[in-house]
Amino acid sequence: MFSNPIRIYGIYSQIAKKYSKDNSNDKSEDFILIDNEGKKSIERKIYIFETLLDCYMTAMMLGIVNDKKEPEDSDKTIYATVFADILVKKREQLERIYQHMVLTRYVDLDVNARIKKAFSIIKEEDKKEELENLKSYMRGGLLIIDDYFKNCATIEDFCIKIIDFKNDYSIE
Amino acid sequence: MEIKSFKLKNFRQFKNINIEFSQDADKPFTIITGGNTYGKTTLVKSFLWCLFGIKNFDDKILLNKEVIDLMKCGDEEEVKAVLELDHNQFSYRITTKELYVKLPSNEVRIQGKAKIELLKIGNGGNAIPITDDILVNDEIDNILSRDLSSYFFYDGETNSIEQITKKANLTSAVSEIMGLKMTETLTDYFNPLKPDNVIKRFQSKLEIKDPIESQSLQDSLEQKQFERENKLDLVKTINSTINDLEIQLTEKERQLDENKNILQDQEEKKDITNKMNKLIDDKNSTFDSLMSLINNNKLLDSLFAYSFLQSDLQDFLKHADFTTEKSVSHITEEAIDELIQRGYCLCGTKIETHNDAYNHLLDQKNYIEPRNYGKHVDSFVNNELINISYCSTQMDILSTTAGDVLDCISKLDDYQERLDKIRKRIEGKKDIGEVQVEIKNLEQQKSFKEGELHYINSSTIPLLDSEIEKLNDKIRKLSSATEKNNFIYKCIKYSERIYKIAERKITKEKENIRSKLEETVGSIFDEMYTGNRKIIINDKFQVSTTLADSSKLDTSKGLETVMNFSFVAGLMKLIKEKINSNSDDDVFEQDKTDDNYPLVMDAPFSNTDEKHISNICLNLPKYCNQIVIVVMDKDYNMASDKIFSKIGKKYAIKKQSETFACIEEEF
Repeated sequence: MFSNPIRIYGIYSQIAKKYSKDNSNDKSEDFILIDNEGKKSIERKIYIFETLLDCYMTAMMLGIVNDKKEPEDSDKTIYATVFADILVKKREQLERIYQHMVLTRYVDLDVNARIKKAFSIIKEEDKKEELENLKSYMRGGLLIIDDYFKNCATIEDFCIKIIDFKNDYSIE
Repeated sequence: MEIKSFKLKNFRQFKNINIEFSQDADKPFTIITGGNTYGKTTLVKSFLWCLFGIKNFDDKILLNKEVIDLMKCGDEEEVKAVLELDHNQFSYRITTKELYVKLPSNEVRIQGKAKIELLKIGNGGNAIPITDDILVNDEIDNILSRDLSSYFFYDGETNSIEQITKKANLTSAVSEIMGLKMTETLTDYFNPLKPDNVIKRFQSKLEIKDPIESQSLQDSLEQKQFERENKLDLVKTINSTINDLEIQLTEKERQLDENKNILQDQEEKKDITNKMNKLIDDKNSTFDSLMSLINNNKLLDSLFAYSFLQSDLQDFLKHADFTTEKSVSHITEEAIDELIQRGYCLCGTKIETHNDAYNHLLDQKNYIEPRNYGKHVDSFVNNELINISYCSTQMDILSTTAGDVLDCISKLDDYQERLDKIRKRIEGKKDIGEVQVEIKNLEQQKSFKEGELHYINSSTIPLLDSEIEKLNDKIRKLSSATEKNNFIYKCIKYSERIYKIAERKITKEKENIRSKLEETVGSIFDEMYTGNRKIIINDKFQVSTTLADSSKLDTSKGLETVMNFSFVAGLMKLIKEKINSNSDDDVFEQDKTDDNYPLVMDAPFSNTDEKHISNICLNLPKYCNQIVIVVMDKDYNMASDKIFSKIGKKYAIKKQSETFACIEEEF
């Protein structure tokens, strides 16, 4: 399932690039925060995610835990791609995400069927559909990420949102 | 000296003005009002130009600019001032002119220097014109010496009322005013340490055994006396410098005292700034740590943990039919079938249909994929549980780090608020740290000068005295004991005695004057000042005040003005009293001086409050017959009620443009 590049389009690609240390040449919006040092104010360019793939993966899990799926954006002029050679390095993480998706969201299947689906090798004919599911959750997750941080103007706002995130997904 | 009228032609902005001064003893004030930059200071300074040719202006071209513009190349125009006054039963007309020519470059050049001419008119009406420069200077010096002019003409810039009592050494000036100058000069002729003195002349008449040796000794003596004179002059200079330094120190210490709070504020500002800088470093470092945690996918890890717990996966997975004990992962049915078909196992055991190995392999098919995922599940659950445990700590660290950044930001805001308050308090005020440094520098300079003075007084001068005495002794020994020489020695002794008596007399007289001046100025001060202070005048005739119970206190500016007016009024009063006094037992006849001098002042009240202005204006006429005040309307208005009945003449400067002003009399 992860032997081909993963590409997202439109608004979702913009969100992913905004919060990632993306090295592409197209001019995407930067995530800039004001840092007030007394009377002096400086601008800081912030990257929440070291790579696009890190952003994708976090977005996928966010979409899964919130059960939020989003359809593809019709605007195909802008996009963001993670290539197969990068995907292969994080294969284990991706498979883990897939397993969480199946075990927690495939409610039509019983426990044994979910386990079988989660841990067996995916059949060729099922790969496309499963990848689409993941991408759907990813798009939903990207919107959630953007909701958290789009109104942050300062470092202070950002720190408050991080604490909110931690509290919202608290494991205590 | 009583001034009657003053005319200016083409003098800076005054193209043509004529002022007549009040000469009414009951109405001594002549008031000239004008706004800022109307030419008040120019007017006062023009008196000094007329009398002495003194040009206290940055621009030395006095010719009116509009007149310059109208001149063609080669044209000549003059600047003229005419002062009419009465002095010692004569009337004088002093005319000062300066000629300008226009150059091809459109600039003007002064032709020569200002020419002062004098017309002296006696009681009978006979007028004597005086044009010779030296004679003119002598006549004017008799009316009012240049050195004294600064006590009667205050232009507010180069010479202001505020500065009068800060002059380094008023002794010489007071001597002049009180008529002691000539006596002092005569006394100097008997001073054995002065270059050309009577005693020296007597000594030169002695009959000498060895004239050549004697001459050589005389030359050495002269040399030593000259050196001693120089050292005494140096002592005066150093004393003057020390005095200036003390004045500056007093002022700086006053600033420091007045601004103690500012020093505290400045120190606090420095402290807060340092703390803020450190806090900013901490904040930046903490924020970098936070971003490092976030960039290392801690958010993703926490979501795995959340997902596992939210769906209670551990419990959910327990309901699976897959067992874990016998389960084997990562081996397929196809692999087992292939082993069976091959006929021997991976370990080498032979596999034949229905043998133990064959039956065992068939049984194992029940514990592998796709029939059994037990190991997978087991592995998954264990990994997630480890993640949960790790994640819990990591997310706490993340949250704490974010909280620390917020704390830093909050503290920075607090510090900034405090800093803003302090800045507002000290805005525009002098940096007290700088004042402290200045004080230290001044103290060092003063200490150095005192050291220098001490060395000269305790070592250099006594050494010179000793050498002078030795030389005198040698000279005496060279003179033979003739009748002539005996007579000359008697004359020398008398001269020395005359000198000692005169010196004592002058010192005593000066002390009398000082004491009288202190008393006079003190009583005038009491009339003008509303407060609890008294006047002190030291041996250099410098004025200060102290609380009536003799503890010293720094003076404020308004108080200084009252002090200075009191001093000037006191001087004037003493001059009058001296002339009118009848002292028959005086050995020395005092010099004769005019008992009236006008007081001409520009903006004398700029630093004084209404009450003191009023007091000054009420009391000054008692001691001064003519008072000319050039003042701004607002300052005049503060005193006008009180002095209205004493105003003899009033004028207003009307500014027509930057280069033209006229004066109108107001009735």
